[in-house]
Amino acid sequence: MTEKTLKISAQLERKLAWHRGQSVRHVVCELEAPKMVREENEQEARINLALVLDTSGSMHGEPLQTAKQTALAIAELLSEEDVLTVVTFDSFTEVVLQKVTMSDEGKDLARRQISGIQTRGMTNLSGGWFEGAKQLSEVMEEDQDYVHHLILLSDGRANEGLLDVDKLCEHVSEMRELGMSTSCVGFSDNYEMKWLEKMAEAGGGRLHDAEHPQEIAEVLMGELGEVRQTVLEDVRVVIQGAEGVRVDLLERYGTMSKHNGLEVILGSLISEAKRMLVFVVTLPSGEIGSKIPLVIHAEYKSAGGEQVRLTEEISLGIELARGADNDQQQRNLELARLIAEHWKTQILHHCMQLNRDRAYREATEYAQRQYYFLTRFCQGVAGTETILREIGFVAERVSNAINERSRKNIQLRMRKDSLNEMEHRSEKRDFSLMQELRFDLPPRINRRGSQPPATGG
Amino acid sequence: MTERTYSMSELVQLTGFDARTIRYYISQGLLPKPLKRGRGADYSEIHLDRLKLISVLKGNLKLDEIQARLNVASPEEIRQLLETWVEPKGKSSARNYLDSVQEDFEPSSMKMENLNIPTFVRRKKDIAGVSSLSQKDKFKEKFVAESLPLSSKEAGESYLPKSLKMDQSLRDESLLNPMNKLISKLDNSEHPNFESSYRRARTWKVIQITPGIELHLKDPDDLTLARMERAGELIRNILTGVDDD
Repeated sequence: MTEKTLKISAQLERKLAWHRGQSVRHVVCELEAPKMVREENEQEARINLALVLDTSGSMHGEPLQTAKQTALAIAELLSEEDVLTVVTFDSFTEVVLQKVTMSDEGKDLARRQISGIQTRGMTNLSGGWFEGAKQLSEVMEEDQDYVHHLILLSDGRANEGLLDVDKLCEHVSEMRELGMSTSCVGFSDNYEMKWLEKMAEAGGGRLHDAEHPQEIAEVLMGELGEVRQTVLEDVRVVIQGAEGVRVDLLERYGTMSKHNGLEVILGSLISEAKRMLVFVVTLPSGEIGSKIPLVIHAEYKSAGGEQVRLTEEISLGIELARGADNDQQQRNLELARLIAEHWKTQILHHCMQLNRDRAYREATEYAQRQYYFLTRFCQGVAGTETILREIGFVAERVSNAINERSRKNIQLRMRKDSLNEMEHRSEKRDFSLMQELRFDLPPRINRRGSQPPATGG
Repeated sequence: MTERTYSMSELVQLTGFDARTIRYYISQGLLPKPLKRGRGADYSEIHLDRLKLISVLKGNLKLDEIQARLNVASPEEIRQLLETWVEPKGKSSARNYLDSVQEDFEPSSMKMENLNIPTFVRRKKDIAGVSSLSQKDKFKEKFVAESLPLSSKEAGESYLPKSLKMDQSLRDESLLNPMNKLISKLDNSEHPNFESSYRRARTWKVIQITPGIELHLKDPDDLTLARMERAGELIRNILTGVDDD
């Protein structure tokens, strides 16, 4: 069996902090999954896959046809060692294909069953997820030696079944702990991004977006490819500091608070995947010259394995210093630029969320405040001019409604940039924030009379 | 016979806690000091059992509350409770978990119908083994109710699991100690018509105004729904300042 170990490294952007406390320092932690290497006798990880498809009325026509064709293509791609379940949900849930091994006979059955799927009724999204999870759990009970994965595709907003997304995500998260991951695919402009994003975060999976029917095939096949390439599962990074240290994260991963620290849940990693985390550490006061320790390590399982493995512990120390020494310290400028990039994605994602909730004033104030902090952070850091210009532009633009598609494209791109996830849609690989917003309505004059921030550059 | 000892990394793997947390628990007195100090420190079954117990209880109780309970429980009692009540993390965990939460996913109309079943019928069903309490909850209740002396304030406010406070009449009362039974009765007398107000409703429509503010409409007809959506729009405009001039 090939040893699959996770590489971890961490660096501080600045090593000194003001001794009076409340200094904020950034720790950049990088992870690299091993390459998937199969030895001669080693078999490919078997997949226990549930496809959960929205068949509510809005999927009628081309979207459903494409989803069905893609489900059939996935069935063809699975090997006879793999197990496929297909569940549809509208007002009711229906198990179209129940835990079928993808032998030749299984594929015949899949073709017959999937072809008969039709649209009807409302959107009981939670019911669909639950039924898919239930089918997977039955295979889990019989045989643990699979990668258990659920892919949910929806084009709408849940309006039946469990309507509390946080409650649903508790269950999704619990199932992730028990070995089943969940990824989501949002289709068209109308899907509820907040729901699918939260579910993917809680499920340790990925969120994909398909604007056009043909993109459903691209993202579903891409997701299947990622599941096949999974080398590590249930990856978590834990950072802990001394008493009084507070740690936050810039990226949109699920987190759990720890005493003086944070646990970040990254979920599954595919072969050679790289992830970068930026921890924002707020420090307590202390003696000049004393060091505040930070310890970071990661925990993970090999794909299909049960044993929890630990990486080495990385110890960092932030030294408390006088104000003048703190101000004059050297910065790691390359790290500072990377941090600014991640900070930007966080700001833009949050702005789009507020804009979607029609909290325009809050969105503007948030963007202006963050622009101010980011400008201070970026002083003397080359290559951050574009970042500031983009935030400045968004701070002006976010006070008005942004159309659903542009907003989703921006949020998705920020998410994928921040989490280093793959973009499976061929048309969306070239992304420009300015272009996304350019075709939208021009910014209105600010009614409150407050000046939007001047754009940097 | 010598008891098995564990290294720190073994404890981490067996319990899911990281090393720093375990050291913190030792410093806070939740766990005894290691058998041997220094880099090759050894830990005993007592450490392992206590950590497993902490992992079950920490979702419901604060650390100092857990500590208070652990301090009066003997290692044998802790072992016994773990053997009896903690779910084995095995092949059937995922399925058991989904079975225990199935109620959350039932269509709302079906849930409302269930509420129309007379209380005594539901209680009978519960006693017959249809209780919605998961194994973990049962364990927490047992640990709470049986093993430890409680003051009435603790038992009532912080120690009684939420599920127990919400749905007293449905629980098997043999799980409760006399103090908790009294609290259970008091809770019920404060809310004599707890279910009656929404028993009649079959569907609820939710209109989200802004994050954190929602309108809930019971059985709305189309006209009411349209009017309330309009009202929601106006409230949203007021709250988000669209109408300020």
